[in-house]
Amino acid sequence: MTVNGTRLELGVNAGIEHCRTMLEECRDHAGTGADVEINAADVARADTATLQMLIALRRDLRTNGGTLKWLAVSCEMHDVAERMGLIEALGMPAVATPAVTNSPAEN
Amino acid sequence: MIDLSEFHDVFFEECFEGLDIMESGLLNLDGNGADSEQINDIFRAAHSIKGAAATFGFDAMSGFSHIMETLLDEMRDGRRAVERRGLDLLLESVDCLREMVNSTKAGDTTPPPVVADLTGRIQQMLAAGPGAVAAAPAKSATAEPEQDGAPAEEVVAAESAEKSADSVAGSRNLWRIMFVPFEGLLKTGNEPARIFRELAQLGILEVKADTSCIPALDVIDPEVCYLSWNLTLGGDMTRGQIEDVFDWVTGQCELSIDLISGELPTQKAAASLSVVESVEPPVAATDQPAPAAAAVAAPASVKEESTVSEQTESSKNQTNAEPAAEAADGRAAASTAAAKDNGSIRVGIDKVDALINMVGELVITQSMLSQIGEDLSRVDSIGLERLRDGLIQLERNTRELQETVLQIRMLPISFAFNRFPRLVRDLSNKLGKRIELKLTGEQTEVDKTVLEKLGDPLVHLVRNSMDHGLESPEVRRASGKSEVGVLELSARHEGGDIVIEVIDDGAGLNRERILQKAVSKGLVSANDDLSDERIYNLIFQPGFSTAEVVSDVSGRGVGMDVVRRNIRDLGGNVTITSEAGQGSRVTIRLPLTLAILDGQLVRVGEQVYIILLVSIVESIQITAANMGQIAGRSELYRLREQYIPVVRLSELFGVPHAVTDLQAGLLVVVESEGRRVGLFVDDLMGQQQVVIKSLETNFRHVGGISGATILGDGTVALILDVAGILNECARAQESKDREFPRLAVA
Repeated sequence: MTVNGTRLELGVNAGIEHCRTMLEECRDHAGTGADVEINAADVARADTATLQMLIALRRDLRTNGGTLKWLAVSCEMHDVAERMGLIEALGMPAVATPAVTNSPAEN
Repeated sequence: MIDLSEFHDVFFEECFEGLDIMESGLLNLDGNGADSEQINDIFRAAHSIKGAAATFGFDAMSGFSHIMETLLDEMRDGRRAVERRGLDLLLESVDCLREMVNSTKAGDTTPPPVVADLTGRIQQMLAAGPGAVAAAPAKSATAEPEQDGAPAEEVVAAESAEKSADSVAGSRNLWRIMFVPFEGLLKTGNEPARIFRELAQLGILEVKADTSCIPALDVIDPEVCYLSWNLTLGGDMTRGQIEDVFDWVTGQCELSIDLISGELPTQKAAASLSVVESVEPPVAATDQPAPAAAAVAAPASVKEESTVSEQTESSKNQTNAEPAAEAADGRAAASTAAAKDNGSIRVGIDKVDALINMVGELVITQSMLSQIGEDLSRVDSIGLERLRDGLIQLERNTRELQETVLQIRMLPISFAFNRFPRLVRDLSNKLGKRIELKLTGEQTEVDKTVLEKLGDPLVHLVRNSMDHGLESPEVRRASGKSEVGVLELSARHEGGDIVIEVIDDGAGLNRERILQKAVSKGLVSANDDLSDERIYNLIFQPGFSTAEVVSDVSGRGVGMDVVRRNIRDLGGNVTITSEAGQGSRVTIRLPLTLAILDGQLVRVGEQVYIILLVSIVESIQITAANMGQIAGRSELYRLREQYIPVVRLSELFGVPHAVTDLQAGLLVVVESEGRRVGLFVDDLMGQQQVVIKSLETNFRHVGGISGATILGDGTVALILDVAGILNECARAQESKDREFPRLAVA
């Protein structure tokens, strides 16, 4: 996972092994009240640990007036979130969006 | 951060256990027909491997297990007959899966080529339909509800409802499943997404997640599971099938599975997977959901777990019954190899508890002695008495601790025996013989090291019995025997040893042919008057084979001498008895453990050496009249009409100040691999149990020495390598040096 401004880049592996590193990044953003963008286009592996942390991030952001926006979601990531009944809690789009579109950071 | 590789060893170990269960279960089904409990056991083992492999990301393994599971599921539900063709295919698949586990363990996750072939063949079988359904449908015994703790009326009601629902073909059951993982579930490598994926394969799954327990980021522990789920599952599944999916997380979650009436809403059936609805606590701010992206990907779909490859005619032809025996052997070898590099051991909790208890006792004793030792100057007669008591207690504690620790290394011999049902099945098919295998004493415990090294000799013996001992059905019938030959493997404790026997009711050894062969090889003289036992035991000589046809099963004469050498390496011995037309009995006698052995302390000059008791034939005082010399150098001693070479240990190891007058010392006659030598020592000391320490690990290899141990006074005593000394002795005689080499000890 890398950070680019208010954008979180989830790498290929967003599994439990990396969740502590992700947590630090998420904490940096949670209290800022900023609008955070997540790029999950490359995620080939995600699991419960990651998803529940992103739910916490989304919730904390909303509490502080910010939002969490999905720039792209790989089919794999979307599949896991859907399978676990977490699409709505994560605010994910209804279908996978594997390509990053209209990213302000890239403009 | 969780490193899942930490759990790999346990996973591989459990895979091998699961594969053993599958193999023995399939073999039982082969002999005894459909047995619902047996099929369930096989299914559960396959299911566990599949689930665990998926958890660890070993997708090929998981996918292949999945397709095996599908075939097993049809058998389990009685939709498919349990017949030879399917069992053969499953047995081949077990071999393949074992190969996959082995290669994955070795770091290679590439599936072997045979996976594609087997996958194709299983799919072909599945596509061809169930065929004849077993006469006694293997209705899942475990599929019946288990309602532990529920009131009796509820149990009856639940069972009744379930049976009623299950009995209607094509009916749609609706199950409500409450799944509340305990906090540590994720840390054990379990993943709810995997569970839901498997549930979704059973029918239509509706998932409602409860996210209300997820705390704020500043206090969250990402490795703790804060989520819980309410699931609704619709389809023709049974409770047992659902429970099987949760097998892996038993004890790590709250789980309730209830059959509810009514049908699952069908509005999302096409998607066949999940419907999103989460329970979230209210929040103050309103989120702006991201707009749907312009580029829309294909809808999420369930990924196929298995990779199905095209089946070609050539690949079909490559896998048939012909290499079955080789596969079994290869599998046995792989299993042995796996066992060899497996440094872990599973220990019953009772043994660990006993060990902890012993250590507790030791701590008390140590504390008591420390108290006395605090001021030795003030120890009076009472204190001395307490000191003596303490030392006696310490000795007892140490002995008990030693025994308890040794118990930990003991494993049932079934670990070695379990490979044989498959081996015998495959080999008897290949040889065209009908053979019944009987296993007795499988729970007899033996040291892990002994167990690991016992496998190969037993395989040699079993193959020999099957190839040369047991006759074909025609021959047996002609000689008035049952067409089915009996091969028995038995184990028992006898004294301080373990006795293993391989018994067959075959033709027995051909005394005359063995004698003829031995004479032609110059092993014995035609005029020698040899007992039957002596003649039969000639087959353990290197290169000895009376087989007229050298087959790939046995007959090259490379088996039995290896058997004897391996058994002797373990400190044991092997003998054979036989009766013409009635069969043979090979008896292996082994020490229970190799970790501690009984040794004889001998003195040479000021040095103390240890000779393991198992090597000692006898110790004698030398009579000058019986001494002789060859070419004025090598000394021989005549012991009851047999001349044995004498080796002076003082000269061998360059020990000064040792006794040189033969009549003033003692001769310890030792034996290894049928050869004897007399070791000349100054004196015999006591006997004691010795804990063998590797000299190579702590120092370097020294000829004639197999290890070292620490004596009670703290000095190091070297343990003689009798086989090594005999080899040196033989080499010296062959080189005609007539002088025994000196093995320098630095």
